[in-house]
Amino acid sequence: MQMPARWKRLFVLTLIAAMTSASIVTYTIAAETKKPGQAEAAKTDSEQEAKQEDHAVNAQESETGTKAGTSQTKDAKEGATTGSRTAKGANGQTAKNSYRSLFPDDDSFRLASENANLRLYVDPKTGHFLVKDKRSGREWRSFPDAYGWNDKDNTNTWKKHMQSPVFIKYVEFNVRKDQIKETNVLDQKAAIERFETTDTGFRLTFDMPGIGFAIPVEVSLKDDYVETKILEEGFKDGKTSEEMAAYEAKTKKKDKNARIAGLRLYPFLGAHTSDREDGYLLIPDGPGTLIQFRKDRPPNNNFYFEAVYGEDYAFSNNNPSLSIRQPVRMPVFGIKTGDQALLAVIHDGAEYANVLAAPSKSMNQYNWATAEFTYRQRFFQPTDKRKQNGFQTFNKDRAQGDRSVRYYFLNGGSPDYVGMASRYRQVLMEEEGLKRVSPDEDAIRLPVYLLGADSKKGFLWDSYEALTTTSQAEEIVNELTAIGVKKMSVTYAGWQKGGISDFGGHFPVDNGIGGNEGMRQFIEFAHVKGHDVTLDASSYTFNNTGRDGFRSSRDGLQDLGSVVIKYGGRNETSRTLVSPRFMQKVLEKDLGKFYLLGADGLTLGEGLGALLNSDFNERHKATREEAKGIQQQLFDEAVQTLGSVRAEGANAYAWKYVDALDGLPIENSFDLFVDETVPFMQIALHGLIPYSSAFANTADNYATYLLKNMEYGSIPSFMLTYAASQDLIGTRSLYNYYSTHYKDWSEEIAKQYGRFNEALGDVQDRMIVGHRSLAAGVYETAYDNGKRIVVNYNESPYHGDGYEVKAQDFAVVHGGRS
Amino acid sequence: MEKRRGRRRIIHLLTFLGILVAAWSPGVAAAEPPYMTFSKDGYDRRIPSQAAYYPSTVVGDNIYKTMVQNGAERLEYSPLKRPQDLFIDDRDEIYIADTDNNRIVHLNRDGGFVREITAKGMKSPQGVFVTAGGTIYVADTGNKRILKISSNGELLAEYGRPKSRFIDESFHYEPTNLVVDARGFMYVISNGSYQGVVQLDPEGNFYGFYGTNMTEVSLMDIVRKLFYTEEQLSRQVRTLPSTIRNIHIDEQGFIYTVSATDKEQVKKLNIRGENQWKDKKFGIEPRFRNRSQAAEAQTTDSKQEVQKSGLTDITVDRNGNLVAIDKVSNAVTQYGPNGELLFFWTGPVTIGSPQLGISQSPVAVDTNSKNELFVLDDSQNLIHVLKPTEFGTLLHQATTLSQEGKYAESEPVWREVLKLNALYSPAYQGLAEAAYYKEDYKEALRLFKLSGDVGGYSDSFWQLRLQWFQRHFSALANTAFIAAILIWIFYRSKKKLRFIANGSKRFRGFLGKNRLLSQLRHAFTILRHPIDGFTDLRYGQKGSYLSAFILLSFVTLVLLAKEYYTSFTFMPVPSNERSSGFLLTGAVTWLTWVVCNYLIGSIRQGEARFKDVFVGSSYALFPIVILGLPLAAVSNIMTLSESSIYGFFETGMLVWCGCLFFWKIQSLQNYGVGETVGNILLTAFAMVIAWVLISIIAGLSSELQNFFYTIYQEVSM
Repeated sequence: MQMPARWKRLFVLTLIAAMTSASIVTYTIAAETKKPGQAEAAKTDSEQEAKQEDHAVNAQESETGTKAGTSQTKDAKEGATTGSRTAKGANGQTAKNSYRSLFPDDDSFRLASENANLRLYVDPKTGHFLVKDKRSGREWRSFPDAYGWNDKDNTNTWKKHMQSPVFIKYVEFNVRKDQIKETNVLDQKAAIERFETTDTGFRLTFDMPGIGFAIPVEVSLKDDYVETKILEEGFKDGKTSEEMAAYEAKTKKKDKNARIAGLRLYPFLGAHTSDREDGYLLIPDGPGTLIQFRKDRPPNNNFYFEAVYGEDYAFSNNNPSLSIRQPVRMPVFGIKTGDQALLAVIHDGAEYANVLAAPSKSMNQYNWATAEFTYRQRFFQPTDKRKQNGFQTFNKDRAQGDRSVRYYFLNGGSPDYVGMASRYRQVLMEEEGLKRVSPDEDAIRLPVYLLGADSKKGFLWDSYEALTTTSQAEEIVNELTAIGVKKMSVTYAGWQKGGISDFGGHFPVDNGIGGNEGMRQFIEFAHVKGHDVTLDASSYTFNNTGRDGFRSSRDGLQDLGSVVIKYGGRNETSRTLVSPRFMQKVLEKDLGKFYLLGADGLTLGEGLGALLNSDFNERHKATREEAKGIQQQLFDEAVQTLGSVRAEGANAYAWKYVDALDGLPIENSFDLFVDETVPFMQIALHGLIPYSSAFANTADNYATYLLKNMEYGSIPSFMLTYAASQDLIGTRSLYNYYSTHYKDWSEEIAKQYGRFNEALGDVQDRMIVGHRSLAAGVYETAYDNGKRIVVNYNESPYHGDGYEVKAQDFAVVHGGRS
Repeated sequence: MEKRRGRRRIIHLLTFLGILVAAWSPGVAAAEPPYMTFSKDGYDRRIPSQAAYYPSTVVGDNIYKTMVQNGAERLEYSPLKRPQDLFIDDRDEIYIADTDNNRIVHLNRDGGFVREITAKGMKSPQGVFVTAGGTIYVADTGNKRILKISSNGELLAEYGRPKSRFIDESFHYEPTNLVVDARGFMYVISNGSYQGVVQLDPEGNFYGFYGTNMTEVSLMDIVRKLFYTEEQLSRQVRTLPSTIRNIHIDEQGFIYTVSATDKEQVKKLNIRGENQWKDKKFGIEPRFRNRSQAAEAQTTDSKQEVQKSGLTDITVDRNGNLVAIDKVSNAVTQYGPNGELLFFWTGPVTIGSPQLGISQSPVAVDTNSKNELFVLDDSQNLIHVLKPTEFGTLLHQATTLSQEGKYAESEPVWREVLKLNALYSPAYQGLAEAAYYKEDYKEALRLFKLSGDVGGYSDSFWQLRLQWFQRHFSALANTAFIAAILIWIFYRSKKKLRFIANGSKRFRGFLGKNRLLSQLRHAFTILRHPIDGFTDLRYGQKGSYLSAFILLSFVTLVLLAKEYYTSFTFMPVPSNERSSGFLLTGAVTWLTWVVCNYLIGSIRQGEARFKDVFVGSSYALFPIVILGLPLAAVSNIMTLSESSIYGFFETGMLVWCGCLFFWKIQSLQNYGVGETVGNILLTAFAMVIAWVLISIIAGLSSELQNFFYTIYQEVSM
């Protein structure tokens, strides 16, 4: 069959076209399905090869003349001597162009302020600054450190973020009400306005008229710290309505209405790569946790981001973003690199701050830690009665006030977490007014919690179950004193009317455990024996009985969606969170009654010191800052009326009022990417406030738990009842406490009291000046009177320098009773 | 969103999520592992418990190989990649099948890198097993063969696809894991094989299929079989037995297999392949499954059905306790040597914050000589190490002693356990058995009740009763003898005691006068002559609303008393959980019955008025009053051996009530038997319809209310 020539040509052309497109398609598909991990691994492998060669070549080259150049050659020489792994240092030379092109050169900085310890230089073009420590000669930059910079390890987005002094999170209310967007001053082409040097530093404003933001920043130098502050005056978080109208008139498009939701100021201050693995980030997780600089981490998105003073339930209620970590009690974080260390304390606006820390390779190449200030938060606005349907959005009004972080640069002593904790202790003493404790004798006070009563579900109705009446409490105190526990701090919980599961209308003390008279007698009895008694008042946080004139719908703490926040799961008693202002009125009224009982003080906690929530109840409105003020005021009044206050799990703002702290954390939140737990909080507080941790008789590993207490200098606490522990089964709230019968524990308590008294009795007013690990599972804590306590967690004894520590035991070295 | 001032708000309550449960308890949140540990008590309730295992450390995440390059030694970071199996040998050395890196990684007991084993062409090894002699068997999945490697790393043998007439061409052989017993026989799990475990002899020849699962036929399958045609059936997916997921061999040579079935999830097989644990149930409540957010992401894996258990691996520790890990719910369960549940723990998994001790994707588990648990995670590429806590160690010790029958020695250990956790009711079980063994039956009785063991309680009670009889036999016999004599005397001299007879007659006369009392007495008459009695209710004015209410209140009281006073043997519910809630449902049902019966009767030519139906139905409940209290009383002296008698009387009481209802309808409505039956069926139907209507109306009205509220909210926002 003969095909006309045209057809033949057409046929061949289509064939060729089909084949080429097919091959292109299959090639692209094959390229896509190649696993990204493998690609990256291949990339880094080849990079390493490249760097090896570069190092060999560039080790000879050196001079570039600038300060940065000399520091690079210094690094290169170090790289050559210290071995192959640090050869990466030299790559800075070849990729130096990228680093130098992104970040300001050292010679673009000029002196802004100077004092006895520090010099502050500023670059007016970018807004970055440089701090030189005159005492040690070290430098700190407000942007990532150059050592180990690898251009390929950082995405372009992150490069921009790292260059920018401010990181901005914002919401576009006219586009999507529930989504956060991120930007920085570079992307917004901010102009630096009103730059001026002050006598302590400098001030400038980042002006972004395109999006309507204006962020005034002030950096000042004082003593041995630098304070970076976002000022409230001149702060513009979005366009005014006239500007929006002007925009719409000009472009005929609706303005996006962008509003600032969060800010990070100089987030990469002190950020270093993991090239030199001698460094860590300190995060306030639990008592304090370290994230070591590790070069080889599996690439994943791990980072630490927690709200200071815990979540604000007024926003996170009904929000599926509840954190699994422990709440942050201290607004601090720290960075150590080599022999430099800094401690950052969030000063103004701590209650609106979050601590963010990320190890290298999780977002970019750097280990960095910073404070993120929240101006607007996401919350769930329900749209139906059952509160199940609704939408997420951000609040319209922003949080007000200055925001500042103080970076203390450590010098002398040890540039590690012990040094950071000592510096924090100094801050507490100077700013919060904490003083060295003055113990009357050399005997420690053992905290003992007595559970009064609870209610049990009964056949027809609930019954009141007394677990420790006041006369039984006298027996317990008597017995414990007789077997050797010389001094105790007894906290009576569940004394209120109705038992521990009844909240609201606390007075009079329930007759089932002895009434007011019984309590008075018990307190007198305890005083005679030399102990002090406080009553648990953390239950004022909730109400579920409607007493005290409480109406849940009227006086409960409400979130932004006008939902009253209630607690209570399946097996729990349900209770409503009380509005802080309402709680204030109730507690103030009851303070006099506590005084009449003769109580030595109150034990606070929960909504008084531990939980900090904003309140959007129209009658009792309070911002988070105001709620903090209310709590502090209540603490103060309690101290004025009764003399002393204890707190459980309290945030740092309450520390200046308390005489003792309970429930101090001793373990971190088990994140996989963090490393060891360190007793930062304990080191900072020892000698200022006596503290204890969770109850020893409900600990998972009793023996190890006691050793931990010894290592951290805390006094073990116990929770006891007179009734047998089996009686707790079936109670409404106490079924979680495994073993509380005092007879089961009295001998053990006496024994431990003796041991802890001998070890810690004479250092009650001493500060901890050293803490380190002597070997795997062996830790040493040193006090400022020369006493050292060595704790051995291993199953085999440890032989130290002239002393031996038995397995799972501790030993006191060098110094005892003076 | 703030509301405008001055507007009346409608504020509602919301229950907060229970994660904050831990936050409220004083001092508990400070040092807890990131998961919650639970146990089950004798009542099958779940009880919280201290952690039995505590997360200790992570192993296998920091592997550096020494490489020689350009003459210089270099440490190269060599992380694991999707490892699928873990094995710990007798010397506590760890072997990991590092699947995507095509090697076996050998770590020492502290997790330090020793060597990597790669045989020629090893591809995606998914299983590893090391014998006591140090020979390493590798399931080389990618090459579909088993490799036998010596402890030095030399390849000794390789076994390919077994050939046998029992294996046909379509059999898909892909070995994923294996165990080797003391004789050298290999038990190989082949991916997707529904015939069971492939058993090979030491030379690699096919020996047989072992431990096959049974096909699980669901109700739907049976129905389909009945109704579908041949053609439709042939298009259905064949119902095949589930595949075996993983396998483990213990020191005694028992083989344990894990499958994704509903029954027999864990099998303990002897050498003949018989399951020793046929009746045991494994797996945890569905409530605890699918807790992790990761589970939603994993539903793309069609093999794992959401809701089915995801038991991925098991291991048996040196005490004989079995540990099973569940991938779908991220839970770890521990069973005692007899398959009873000891603990399980589960923790929330949040993407972005992996926690030590919670694995996101657990694929393998093993224990070492110190009973530490090693859980291999193939998405995090590391091993979580969990150490037993003091509580856990004590518990294992006590369980082992109890299992071995050393009751006397187990007692002090159980007491220690109770001291640490007084709420751990299985400990009471151990103590109770020890007390029973010591013949301290009173104590055993009390402890069995605490632990919820009905059988033990009944046995101890039996012993106590026997002892009581033995002690008091003489007294009882004397009393019975004297009573018999007295009755004989009484009957003999009835005439002389006429005044007693007169007195009782006058009493009865008095009763007859009072109308209410006579109506109440009529209840007894109904018991003896039901049909006439019910007719008399209406026509003889022998019943009224007042008497009906009194009877109903009696019934209520008796029911409450029965619920409360029935002995533990017959109502194995702890006394504080017996509630009066059942009364409400009973009352509502009864009332619905009365109303519906009257309505149905009136449309079907019945002659009863509402009053008659109401009063008659309350009188029909009278047997409960008569028999209820005596039953409750008698249950306190009976044991399980007499349960048939108790059951008889209890059922009899209910049947009697049922019959009375039948006769009531028959007589009051003046029906025949057939009409009565029809009336009853229609009444039942009417009750169902009534409740359906009520719930529909309730639901609709609440939706309507909701709708208006939403509109109001939207308008006002």
